[in-house]
Amino acid sequence: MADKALPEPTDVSRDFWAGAARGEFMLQYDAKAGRSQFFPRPVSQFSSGNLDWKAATGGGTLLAVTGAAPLQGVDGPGRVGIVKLDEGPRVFARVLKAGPALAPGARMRLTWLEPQDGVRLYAFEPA
Amino acid sequence: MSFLRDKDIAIVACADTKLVRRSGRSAMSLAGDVLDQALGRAGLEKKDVDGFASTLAMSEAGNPFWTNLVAESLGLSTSWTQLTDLGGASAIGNVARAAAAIKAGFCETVVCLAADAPSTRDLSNQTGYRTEFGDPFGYSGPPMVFGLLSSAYAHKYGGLPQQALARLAVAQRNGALLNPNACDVLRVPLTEADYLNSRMIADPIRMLDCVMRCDGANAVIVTTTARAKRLGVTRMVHPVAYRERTNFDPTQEIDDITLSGFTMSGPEALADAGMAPGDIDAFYPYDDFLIAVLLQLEQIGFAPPGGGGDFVLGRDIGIGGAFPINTSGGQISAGQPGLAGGGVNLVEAVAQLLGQGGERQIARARNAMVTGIGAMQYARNWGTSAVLVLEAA
Repeated sequence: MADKALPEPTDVSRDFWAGAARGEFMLQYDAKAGRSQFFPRPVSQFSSGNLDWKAATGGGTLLAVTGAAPLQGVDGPGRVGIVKLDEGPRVFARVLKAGPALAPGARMRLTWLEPQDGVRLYAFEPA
Repeated sequence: MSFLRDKDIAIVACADTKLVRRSGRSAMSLAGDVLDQALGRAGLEKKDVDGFASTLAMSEAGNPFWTNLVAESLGLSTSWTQLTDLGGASAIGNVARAAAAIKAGFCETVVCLAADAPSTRDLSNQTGYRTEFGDPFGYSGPPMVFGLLSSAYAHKYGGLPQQALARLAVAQRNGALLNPNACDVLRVPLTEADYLNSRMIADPIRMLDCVMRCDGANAVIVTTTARAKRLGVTRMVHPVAYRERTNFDPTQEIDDITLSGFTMSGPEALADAGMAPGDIDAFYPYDDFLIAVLLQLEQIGFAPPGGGGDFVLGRDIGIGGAFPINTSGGQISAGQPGLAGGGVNLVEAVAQLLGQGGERQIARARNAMVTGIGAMQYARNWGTSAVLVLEAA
């Protein structure tokens, strides 16, 4: 269940959401710089090189976590966090299955919520 | 970029309206009040003004001609007009932009005016990643961002300096009690226990860590020192240094999300002013959340990393103290008039340096530092970090 209106893909983010529908978290990859970025942007942050899409492994490290309204239909406290993916980029998302001791530094893995109107939203949970 | 060091630019007047929660008034109406006040204090007529710098208004968002409409409605005819959309950094950003425009010969006397009424009407709509990758994923607003930043800070330093935050909350509230223009709902005494017991909003951010939105307007008048003297002005304030940084660390080389552009603009502004942190008499940090004040103390260079709390507890930061902070209450205790919020502490700093602090007048007011914060970025810190150093003439 989404918190608010579902995302509306743009010309820049369309490929990300197509990946999400397949259960793949797509990063924009700049082969010239050898680095990835998220959220989707029209140009690379690292060089004037081209951007390709590359699926993330889904592993990452929690940088910050705080309280949020509980997510409807999902057990556990409402939490959100910032996760640094192993590929480099940071992602803001819901944190599920968070115990009271969950703190920055924890290993996390990406997970997907139940599709809604064909859109799949991502979240994180402790690895 | 020490283009202000020669002190040939002067702020000759400042003004602000009463801050009011849900005033029912428009930003335009508030702008009219504050323009009249500012011109009156400067001894100027509208025809003496040839420059106008404004900020966006959340209550008027969607009007693509806002600044032009304000100029027309208020009766200003200008040879230089500027709209700055750096959020809470806009007000001090406009002082620097006005100074640059004056030095470039576009104009000689600029009204820098900010007015907003977001607690009466908020038409703002932040598009981009906010609606696509924020809101659908649980984003609920700035308190959540500062909850995340505080979480990272607490992890890095082994906890939050709660006692120092409480001290800050009370010191600023004491200023608001002496400030008739602060929001009436905030003009009630506050204890450190009140702060520590206030409701958790986004742990560890509490209700009393956060600003409250309100309606209001503020303005300063910037001209040349030469013209100020011709006008017979004897007390004026010189902007002597200004630095801003937008989109700090764009490639995310630094995993520590507590670090912001102030790590650059703070030391740069001090160097431009030829000052060390210890030379600053009074500090007017942008305060949308109390933790932002601690982060700025550390990143500008007043305190070492992680030492912002000890810095606050180690000296008197009140009006009678050695290092006064946000003496009119700051936004936290006076109210945040939306995108005019950056002017709240600017106007107080200028008033103090002009000796117009009234009951709140601080003893040593040779100079002051005012800062601005603009916008929140994706999964990291704020967008713009701006620092202005002022000196009394």
